[in-house]
Amino acid sequence: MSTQTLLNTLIAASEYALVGLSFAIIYVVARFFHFTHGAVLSSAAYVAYTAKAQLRLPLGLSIVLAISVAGLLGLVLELGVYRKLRRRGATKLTLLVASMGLYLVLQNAISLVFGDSVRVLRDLSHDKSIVFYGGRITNIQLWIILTTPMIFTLAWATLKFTRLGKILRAVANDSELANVVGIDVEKVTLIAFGVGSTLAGLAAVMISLNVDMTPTMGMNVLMMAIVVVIIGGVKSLRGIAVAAMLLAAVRHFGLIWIGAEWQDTTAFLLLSAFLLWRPQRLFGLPLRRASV
Amino acid sequence: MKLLKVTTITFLTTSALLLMGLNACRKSAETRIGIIVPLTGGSADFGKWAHNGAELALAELNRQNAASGKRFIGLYEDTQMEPKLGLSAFKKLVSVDEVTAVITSGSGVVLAIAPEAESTHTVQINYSAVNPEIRKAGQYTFTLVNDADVEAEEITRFAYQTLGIREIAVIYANASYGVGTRDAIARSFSRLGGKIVGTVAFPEDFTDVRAQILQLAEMKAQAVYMVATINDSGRLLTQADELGFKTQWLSYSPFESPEVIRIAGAAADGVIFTSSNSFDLTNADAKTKQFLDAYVAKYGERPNLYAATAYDAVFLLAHAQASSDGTREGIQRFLASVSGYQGASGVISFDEDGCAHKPVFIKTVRDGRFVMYGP
Repeated sequence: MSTQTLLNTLIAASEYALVGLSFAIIYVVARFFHFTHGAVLSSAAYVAYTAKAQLRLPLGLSIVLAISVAGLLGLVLELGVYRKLRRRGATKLTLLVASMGLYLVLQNAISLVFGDSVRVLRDLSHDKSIVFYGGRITNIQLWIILTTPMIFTLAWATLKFTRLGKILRAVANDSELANVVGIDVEKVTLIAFGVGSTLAGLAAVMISLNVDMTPTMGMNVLMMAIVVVIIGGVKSLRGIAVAAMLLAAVRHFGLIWIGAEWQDTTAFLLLSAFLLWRPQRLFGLPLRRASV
Repeated sequence: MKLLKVTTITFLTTSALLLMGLNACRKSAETRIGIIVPLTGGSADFGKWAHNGAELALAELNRQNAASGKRFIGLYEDTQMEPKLGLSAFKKLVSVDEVTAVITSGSGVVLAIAPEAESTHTVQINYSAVNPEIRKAGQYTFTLVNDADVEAEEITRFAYQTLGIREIAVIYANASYGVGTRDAIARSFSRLGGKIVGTVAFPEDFTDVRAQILQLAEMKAQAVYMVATINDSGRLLTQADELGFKTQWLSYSPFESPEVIRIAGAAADGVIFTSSNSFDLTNADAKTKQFLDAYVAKYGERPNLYAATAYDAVFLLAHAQASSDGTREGIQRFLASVSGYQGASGVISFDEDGCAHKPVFIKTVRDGRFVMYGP
């Protein structure tokens, strides 16, 4: 029980963390809740499904195609919708509403084309579990657990040691100041949408290989990822990773003491607890009263 | 100038009256049936099957009535399986579209609509919801499927007497139908002397249910009864198989869908379930055969139980309209007296609670096919 629960926690945490990271990259720069991210996730999964199950392309190529389409979709959304709205003076609230509308349109478009039944990307005959210290784990789950830390390490190194990372951090800290010193904030926002959406594509492919896909899959996982980002702090990679572990542990180990019907409730109780008692997030410094 | 004004007013008034008259004529020649189903969201498949079955019935009715000029129209409203959306849709259909009867789905939706159906004297025919509470919903609610109590009775008796199972765990969707069926299983199995060792809930349209499966494994029951939608049943069995959790799975009518096999593959083999679906029986009667052939010809796939019950619901309402005085009360009186009606989903007779009883079979999955249970 405990090994398996631990493994399940690790798998879920890896998924939350990866989706959380993809969401946070866009949020820190764009500064609004990009709900269409959920539809980008679902779209990537269905592109992979179309390529593999319908066009009979090899799995590897289908995955690359799905991730690329997700990245492109992110760029199209930014260039075709959000940038235009910003130039017309749209507020963050307008962008949020637009994002929710776009999510609904995309999700319903997927439903219309593919139906609402579960679609299966994995190969039914080759998806057998490996026994690991009394727990069971499938190949794709192992990939999820291994890939996420690698992506986090890459993200940390990029932010810390590259020029792009410095620019991203600058815009995240103060976009107006970044603009004043000559950083092209529009370009950085576009890059953030591209990178965040590409990562969402990667997450979507892995999640759909693990637990199959439905048109609403993106929003289901995005809700948990948003909780993780709020608890961990949108600018903290360490915070997102630890918050993902914390949330997954609460959802999986929590069932030992409380009924399973409260599983989703526990996630939002955790969020409420943080907002009430630790608004500075996991690794943030407490706010001090300041006067000028 | 004055003449022009008078002419214009006369022309407009005459046109308006003419249009109103035409509209009234059209309405009198039209029978509108409200169809309140989930068309989007995680349960949209239920709506799709109902839509297919209902459209087939409407097309047949319109063909049969072509000479008389009478037309039957289905007015669809989306519920996403949400009771509050279902209730708003019902109110809109009754007050704006003036429908005299509706077809509904989903235990939560049916129960939410029931009081309003009573107060407006509007019949609702439920083609899929199984919560036993629907039995007490009132005289304007009719049900075309066995409720959870009927199926629970059969499966628990079979498990207890034929399989020798004494301990069962239940995993159920945290929704009205899930809770209702869980309670029905607990009642009937306890009556037989069996023990429910535990129950575990999961959210509908889940992605990960492994934690719940581990809880089931801890319970060490001889069998697990699964109350889930088609999509969720397939995923649940897949994840249980990946975790190496072996048990005797038991389930109910909605399980009998090719979608489950497509999602779960070999993990679905061995599941035993109750079925009210007689489509694959060789002794299928003429009406069922006719429906089956027409459905396959139109949609290129085999129908399931809910396409058949939605088809029957449309025909029952058309008969009620034709055989009664056409008022809401008349339609209710006609339906309450229906007995031995041969529908596509089997013989329909409503009991005093407005529920139809269908024969229940015990089936299983063998080599990816639904077959009657037996050696």
